[in-house]
Amino acid sequence: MAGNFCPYGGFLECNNIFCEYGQKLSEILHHCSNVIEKLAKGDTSDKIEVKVKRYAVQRLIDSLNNQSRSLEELIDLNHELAIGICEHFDVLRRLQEGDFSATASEDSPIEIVRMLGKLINHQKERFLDYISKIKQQYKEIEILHKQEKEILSHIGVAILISEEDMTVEFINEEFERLTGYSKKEVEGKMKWIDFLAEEMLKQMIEYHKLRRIHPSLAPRQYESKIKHRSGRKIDVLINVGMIPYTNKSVASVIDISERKKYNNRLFIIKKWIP
Amino acid sequence: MADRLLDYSGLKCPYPILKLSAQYPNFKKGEIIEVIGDCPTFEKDIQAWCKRLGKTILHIEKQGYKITVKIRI
Repeated sequence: MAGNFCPYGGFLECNNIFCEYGQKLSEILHHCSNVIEKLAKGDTSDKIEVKVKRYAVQRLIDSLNNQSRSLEELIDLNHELAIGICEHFDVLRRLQEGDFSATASEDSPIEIVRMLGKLINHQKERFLDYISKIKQQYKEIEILHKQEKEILSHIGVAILISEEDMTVEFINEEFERLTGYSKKEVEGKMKWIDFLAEEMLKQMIEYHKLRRIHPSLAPRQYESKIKHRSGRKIDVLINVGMIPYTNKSVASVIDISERKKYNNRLFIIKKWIP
Repeated sequence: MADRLLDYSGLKCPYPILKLSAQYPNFKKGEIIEVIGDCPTFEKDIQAWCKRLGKTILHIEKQGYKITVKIRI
């Protein structure tokens, strides 16, 4: 008897005639204790399948099985919720990284997870629509920009567009003809001050700075001198304006060398002829 | 040999996969991670997580409740 001591307060092979439960009941109670221990750890895999005649013990078994099933449902719900959140979290992360192939599943048995999936997919569609509209607008702007440059290229006046740092962004054919430099040599490589005669540099840079503080601080139109590739100086009339919403400026340059020459001659003639 | 070891022993499910998901953005594609857990439903959860997120389980090792899973990210 002593070798079969029961840790739950009885004897496994109890031959005591005064024990009213006997061996079977003792085993069932052991089984119940094991199930309770497992339930406490969240393990609902064990169920008690035996049927006993004693009502109180059968009630205990039924209650345990019911508790186990309820806990199993709760755990499944909890896990489905957690996995659903994990999945949607991953989809959001991928969308944030620009991976628009990510799609949230919409088949979760939990309504809130299903709705969250639908919401994420709906937002993704809206966002993709928005991007496609922006792309369309960008294309339209690009076309307008090309058209504008094409018009400026063939206009009969030399045109120059300059960045804030004085780098030349664009020149037209007439400007090429006037200075002897090609578009390839100038655009993005040279600064507009490279074309100026040395004596004009200081004043023109001042105008450039003032114009960016406020357009009215610098004259819109003034005479100046530029250098041809050959080194020849050319008298020019420059019209400058800021391009709206940018720090770029556009300048038209008209060759007034001939007019200057005639004016000088006229001045000399007037001086000598009373 | 795993690139990272994440030991979630002692944590009840679904905490391990919630923690794994929170860590996930730090992983690089192709990396091998080793996740340890001892919750009775850990294996089921980790399998569900891998299936939903399209990750590959390379190896599962069981020692009682303690489960070690190797996953390719």
